[in-house]
Amino acid sequence: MLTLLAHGGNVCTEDRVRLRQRLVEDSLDEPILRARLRLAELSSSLSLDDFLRATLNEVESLTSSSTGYYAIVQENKATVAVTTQSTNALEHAMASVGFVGVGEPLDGETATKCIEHRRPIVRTGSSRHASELAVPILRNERIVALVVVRGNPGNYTHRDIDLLSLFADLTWDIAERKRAEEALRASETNYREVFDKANDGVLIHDLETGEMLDANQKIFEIYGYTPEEMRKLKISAISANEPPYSQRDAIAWIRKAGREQPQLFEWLARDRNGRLFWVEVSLKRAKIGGVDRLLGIVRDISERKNAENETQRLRETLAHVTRVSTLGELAASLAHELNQPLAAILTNTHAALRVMRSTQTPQEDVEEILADIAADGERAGEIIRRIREPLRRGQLSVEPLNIDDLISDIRTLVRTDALLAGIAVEIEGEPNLPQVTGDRIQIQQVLLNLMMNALDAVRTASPERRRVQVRASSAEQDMVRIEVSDTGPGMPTHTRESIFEPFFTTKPGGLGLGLTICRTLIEAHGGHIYAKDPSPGDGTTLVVLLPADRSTA
Amino acid sequence: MKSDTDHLRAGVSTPTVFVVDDDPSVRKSLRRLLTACGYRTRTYGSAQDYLADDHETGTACLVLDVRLPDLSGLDLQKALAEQGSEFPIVFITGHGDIPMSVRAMKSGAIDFLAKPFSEEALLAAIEQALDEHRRRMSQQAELASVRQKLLSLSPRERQVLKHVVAGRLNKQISADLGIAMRTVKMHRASIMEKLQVRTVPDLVRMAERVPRLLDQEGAPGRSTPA
Repeated sequence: MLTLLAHGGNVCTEDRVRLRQRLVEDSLDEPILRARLRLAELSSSLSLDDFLRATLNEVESLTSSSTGYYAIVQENKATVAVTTQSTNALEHAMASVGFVGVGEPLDGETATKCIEHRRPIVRTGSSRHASELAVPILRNERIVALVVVRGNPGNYTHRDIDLLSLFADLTWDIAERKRAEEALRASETNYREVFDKANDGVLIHDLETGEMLDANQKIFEIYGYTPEEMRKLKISAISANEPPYSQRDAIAWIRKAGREQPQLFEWLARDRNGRLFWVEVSLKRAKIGGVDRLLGIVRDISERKNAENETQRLRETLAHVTRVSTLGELAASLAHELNQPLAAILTNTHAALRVMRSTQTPQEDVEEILADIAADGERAGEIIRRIREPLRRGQLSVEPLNIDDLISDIRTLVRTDALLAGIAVEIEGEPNLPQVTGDRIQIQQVLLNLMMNALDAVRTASPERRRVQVRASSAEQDMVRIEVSDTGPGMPTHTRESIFEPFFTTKPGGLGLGLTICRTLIEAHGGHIYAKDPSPGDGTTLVVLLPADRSTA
Repeated sequence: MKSDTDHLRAGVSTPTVFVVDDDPSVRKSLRRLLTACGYRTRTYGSAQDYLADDHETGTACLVLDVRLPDLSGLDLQKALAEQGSEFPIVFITGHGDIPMSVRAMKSGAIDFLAKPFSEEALLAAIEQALDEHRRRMSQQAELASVRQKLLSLSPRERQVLKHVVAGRLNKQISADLGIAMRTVKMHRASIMEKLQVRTVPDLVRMAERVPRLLDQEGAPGRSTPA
């Protein structure tokens, strides 16, 4: 009971003191104690309205009344409306048209006087009126409500007045608290709903420990964990967990957001199935429930990132195709040239066969055809020989070239391909490497060709043997050496020279012209290209030597 | 081998194969082979040379290299189509790609052969092309005869025919043209006779082969004595 009273706050002090005395005096009054106990119990389980009705029912019976109701007094005192009726009053109201119902303005001498004088008013029962008792409820010197009981068969006594005052005061306190709680619950429900229905994941972390305190439904959807699982996880478990997306990096971001301004960054996340996906994270220090917290907003941006990656990939493929196709074009043009004499040889042969079978045709015709066939054979050989000559098509556009730049260009071109195939590409440079002079596109083609060959050689190797290495170093006689090595199956010593022959290929569907053209291009630049003596099982290493540009050495 | 050339020689007119290729060796070898097979063969080094020549009207086809100087084989194909040339085309190419061959085939080429091609493939394509040309020619001849018959109608008859083809009844035609039913019936009988058809569906089918001809009704110089 004391605790109930303690909720009263700073109400009318005089009344409070008097009530407390009463409480002590009446503390042994068993019916009152029982009634209070019931109310204390009911306060937590009933809704506000039901609770108020229950208190009316209690005071009704304690004061031997037949009905009772609460009425709220508006601040301007102009309107007084019944808010809650006792169960009896409610039933009575339904039965009798004359009785005031909830929401109806209250009129009556007793109530009016009570409001006017701000003290309890008793009306003695008569043949015309039932007896009536009205008690004001005061808060901060203001009359906020009335509680009215009526129908005591005798007359209301001082004890009734005290009892009603005591109960009215207590219940009003409880009612106010309940009202506040209900309002809070309603607003919390609203916020929770907004929180859970948000399109982005929302996390609330402890600023010190980084511990997850709360998360909305979307977070669980994004990561695929249940709230219980999620609470036990470290950030590493829901991240790619490789720099720059490791636990360490995450903590650095959290600290930064805690210390400085809000942080916005992209993060490679991992869901419950181990799938990696992109999220955008916004971290912000915020006061939540009066405590400093870290508020994190997580947005799934996989779709956007995938589109970006696709664009990037296409760009690289395009650059790749542009460079490779120059080689392809050359091969195509060779094929075209070569197919002319071959077609003529074949057609002439069939013509000769027909001529020989026909009896009338003179022998000289066959001789002429055979001579033409021989000439076309020569011509085909000439075309093949020409591949070894420096390229006739187009002039070399010569410029100083930085080896590191050339290699990094090639690395960019093959990066996606290598990544997808799980091939590690290692680049080894040397400081102060001299530049070379040459045609950028042609040198790039050679390096790209060597690189693609190397990648192809290890593509089907076991994962730990999928390595391609590019080393650049300075060599004797003012040369620069570029070595492209793979950890593939290598090749037998006797094929070392054949690989530069036209139409030598180990690749299904290969034209066998790549290295032939590479040698042509490198020799046109005054350089050399050769295959290193292979040690057994050591893969293949191709070495390109290019003359250094002396002016930059 | 001999038998398949004999029937060509025995024919009323020996078919002609026009070869356009810029490579002299290829040209020469093709002329030899095709001549040995019994075709009349004409060879040209460029598209312009071919266009500059007069071509006789017998059964013929073209063997055309895709890569030609200045005007390519595909360009020539287009130019010939615009000129209304009826010669079917067999393409040959040193290094063809798929888009190129698709383009050629879509534009009505008979075949697209990659050099070096087999004798068998070449001769089969040429025979197919010549058959196609014969088919086109007979279609042409038929059309010409239909056209001739239609031109033999009087302007009034053509007017009536137009209405008949449109599905009008004699009564309606009589009202439309302001002539007596009896006159309409008379015109119809005359039309059937001139066009040598026995039923109205046959009449409609024939008229539809040359749809534009009926629209030229009343055009100057078009009317022929009935």
